Amino acid sequence: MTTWSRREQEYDRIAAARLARLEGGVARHVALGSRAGLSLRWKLARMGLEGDHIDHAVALVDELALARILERHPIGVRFATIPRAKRDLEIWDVGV
Amino acid sequence: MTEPIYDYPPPRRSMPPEVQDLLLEEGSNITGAEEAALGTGIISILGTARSGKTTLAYGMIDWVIAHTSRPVVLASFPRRVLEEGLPEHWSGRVSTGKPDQMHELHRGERPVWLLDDAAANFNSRSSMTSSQVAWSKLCGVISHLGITVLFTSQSLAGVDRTFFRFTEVVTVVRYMSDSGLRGERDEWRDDVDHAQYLLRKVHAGRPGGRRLRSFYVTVSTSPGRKPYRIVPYVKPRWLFEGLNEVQRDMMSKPFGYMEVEEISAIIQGPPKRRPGRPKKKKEDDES
Repeated sequence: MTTWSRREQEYDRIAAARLARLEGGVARHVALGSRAGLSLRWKLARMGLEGDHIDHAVALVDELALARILERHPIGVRFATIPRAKRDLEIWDVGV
Repeated sequence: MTEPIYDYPPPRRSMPPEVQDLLLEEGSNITGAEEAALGTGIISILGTARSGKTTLAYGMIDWVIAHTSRPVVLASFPRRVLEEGLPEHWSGRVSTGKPDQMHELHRGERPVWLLDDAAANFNSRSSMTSSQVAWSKLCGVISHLGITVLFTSQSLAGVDRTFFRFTEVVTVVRYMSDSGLRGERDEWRDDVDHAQYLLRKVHAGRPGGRRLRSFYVTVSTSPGRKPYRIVPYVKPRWLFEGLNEVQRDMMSKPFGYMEVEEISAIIQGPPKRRPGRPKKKKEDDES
């Protein structure tokens, strides 16, 4: 790992730690979504609309915003965002 | 979980394939791997003081004695440790010698050499001394001689880099302090750093003490080998229960039992002859 990428990781960690102190952190759609997602939420709430189809519409706007952010990142970062099962550490069986 | 312990002989699996590859005789079968053993190369055991490097090296030697017919040479070990400190089942298989005899001792028998605290004999700051230049040349041909060199060090930065240039190298990483890690060679720091991460992770909720002694990590760049492998440290019972206190101390800190002259020769090099005052000629005296 280069010095720069190591520093970037450190800055990311510092930023994440500071963000998390804002009254327990901000919602995912605020941190990683777009303004359109916020406006849509306010409008739908003001109109009193609820239901699965409304949730899906909001999720679509959030995911589009997230995909837009990820487009600017290298393939490794994008790949790392995919949920995966946590692997246990593999330990050599010494036979004792 | 209790730390695994064995009664001699050690199980063949107690050493990981990467280490077996270099400790076994050439062409022998490696447990847990398809290919035959290489039978030559360098195994470096790395870790901060009191992290269990030397005891792990003894475990490897015990394994060599049990599973091969290769002779073992404990480089520069004091005679007293050899006579009083070693377990009985090592007698006849283990001897001592100076590193500069590596090309001639047990010629043709493919010995395994242990250089404990290699930074004492092969310090990176003495890299251009005649003995280390000779050692550098020897490193280029240890595979021809079928030698396996096992060395321990607190930092690869303290050891002459010729060790890593020529032949198959497997690095075995034990606990390393943060300051030690910062001073490590650039080309090894990331590997050692990752090994420390694995050690901390695997020790979480397990015994091992501050020095994380219950496991070690092998680092290998050889194709077909795992780049990093976590291995439980299997204790030889004789080392912890079969020896008296003095023997245990001798085995743990062999250099502490050297004569002052011997250890001075290692640290400061052989005594240098001071140039004498030129003799005056008789004629000068007369005039």
